[in-house]
Amino acid sequence: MDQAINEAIFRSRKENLTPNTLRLWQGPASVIIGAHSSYKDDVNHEECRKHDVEIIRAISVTADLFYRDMGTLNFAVTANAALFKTRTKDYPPVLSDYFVLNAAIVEGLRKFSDALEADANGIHIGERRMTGTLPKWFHDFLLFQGTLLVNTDLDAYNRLIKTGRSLEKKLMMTSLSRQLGRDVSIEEAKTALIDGFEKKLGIIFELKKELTGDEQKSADLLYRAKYSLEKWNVYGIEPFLVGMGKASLEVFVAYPPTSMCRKLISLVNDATSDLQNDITVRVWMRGKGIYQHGVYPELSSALVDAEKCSRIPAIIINGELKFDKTLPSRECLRSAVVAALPQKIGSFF
Amino acid sequence: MVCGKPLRSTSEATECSFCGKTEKADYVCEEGHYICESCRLATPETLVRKVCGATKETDPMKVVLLLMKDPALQMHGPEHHYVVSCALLAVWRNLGTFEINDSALDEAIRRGRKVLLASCGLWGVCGAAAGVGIALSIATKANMLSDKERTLSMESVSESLAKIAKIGGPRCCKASTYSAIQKATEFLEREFEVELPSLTDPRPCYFRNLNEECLRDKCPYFKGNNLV
Repeated sequence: MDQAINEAIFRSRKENLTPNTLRLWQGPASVIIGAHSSYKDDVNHEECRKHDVEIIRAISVTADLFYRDMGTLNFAVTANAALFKTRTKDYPPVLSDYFVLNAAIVEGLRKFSDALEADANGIHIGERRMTGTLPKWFHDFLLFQGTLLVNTDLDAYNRLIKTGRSLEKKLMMTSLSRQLGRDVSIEEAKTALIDGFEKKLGIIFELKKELTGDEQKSADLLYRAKYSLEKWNVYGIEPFLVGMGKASLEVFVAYPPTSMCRKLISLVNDATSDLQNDITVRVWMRGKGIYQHGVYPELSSALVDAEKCSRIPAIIINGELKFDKTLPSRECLRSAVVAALPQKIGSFF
Repeated sequence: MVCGKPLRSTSEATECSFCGKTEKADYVCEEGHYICESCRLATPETLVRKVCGATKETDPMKVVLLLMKDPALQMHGPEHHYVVSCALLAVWRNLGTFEINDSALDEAIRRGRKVLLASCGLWGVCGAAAGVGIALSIATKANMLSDKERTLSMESVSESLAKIAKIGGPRCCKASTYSAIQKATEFLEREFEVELPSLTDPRPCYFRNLNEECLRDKCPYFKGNNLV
């Protein structure tokens, strides 16, 4: 559920319903894999089954992965990049946003050790790494989630994370407690992180213990339609949901719409008129550019393909091309739409 | 649609500004431009084939400008490779410069389709320049065993390529198309003593505000300067 919560806060931030947020939490033992990681090859499934460790896929632009348990402090920064723009000039230009955020963590952890250093990939002490991070962008908005290994079971880390890029990384992982030679509590680490972000970014956090109503509703939808399903966790296939996690129906038509396109638009309006709260319908006109629906366009890759391949008119539901070059019957369209509603998706599995 | 002017609804029979077909229109612009339903839904290949098959135009720049304004053609894309060759073949047919039959356009599209997307960066051969060679090769019926015809086709590509390369990058399929058409026209005048009645100056580029990677002042077509 915590990945659904992260995405819900991220969506809420980009909808301007939530301020820049630092979320800190602990959770049971699990392996978090990036959006482009291999579920099959990167994780030791036998060990996971034996120790009842869940494998969850997170939204990210990278293929990194990490293990965490109750000795790990999880963090997720959700912010408009404008927050760190003025600070990035002190760092190398490539990936400087990540650099600033990792430097904020180091700033907070200085009270434990001066030997900790930040780079764009995380926190390290000498050759050993202490964090894993998975960034995700939506235009100017960044979700930067990761783990700080405080008292994490490093043997479990090495057993569960198996191959590929992670092999090199896991050998170098360390925890704060191991490096300091004493037990550091999660509460101590939590306070240090908050201090570090406040100092580095020149901000003061307002403490919140609960999600807003919109965030909670969105997290529930996302959990049901995505994070609880094999389709996402195993195969990395996600439904294209818009806004706070609403189903999406993209109608791709000619500009100006031909008679067939106009009929299709009417048909869609008719078939979805009672579902306005559950589905976002957007009509995209060929050749009119990506800013037809605001400055932060949300368009699926299927829509981009439809434009490139001249599949017109077309109906794309939750990022899947459902009908093209034809007028579907109202019944067919209606059943495709209803099956795609986030609150319905989970019930099919 | 064609000129960017506002649209108004109509029910009058109007000629399609692209393929020339007359049908009962739904929208026309203030200038009277109309795109028929079939052209609005067409693939780039179909559109290029229809327009170049029907045009009476003798100015190849006008043909490519019209084609490139259609939403079926993306800002950048491999369809520009056969846009150049089909526009040249259509104009040479209309001028009677070469004997060009209907299958020539199909052949140009077939050959142009084989030029890889991003071939400019990957092969060092821009598809628009290759399009000049394709057109001349089809027009002169050149093949690998030909003598003069083969040489001319290769020289036309080489000269077009040199002109396009001077623009710099990132690539712009619009600027490459303008350059290829200009060079092809110069080449034809020099080698075949065929002078076009007119060649539209594409400056300032119609697409300059639509291209997110526009080279702006670095591009000779960005505004009405004299760098071409």
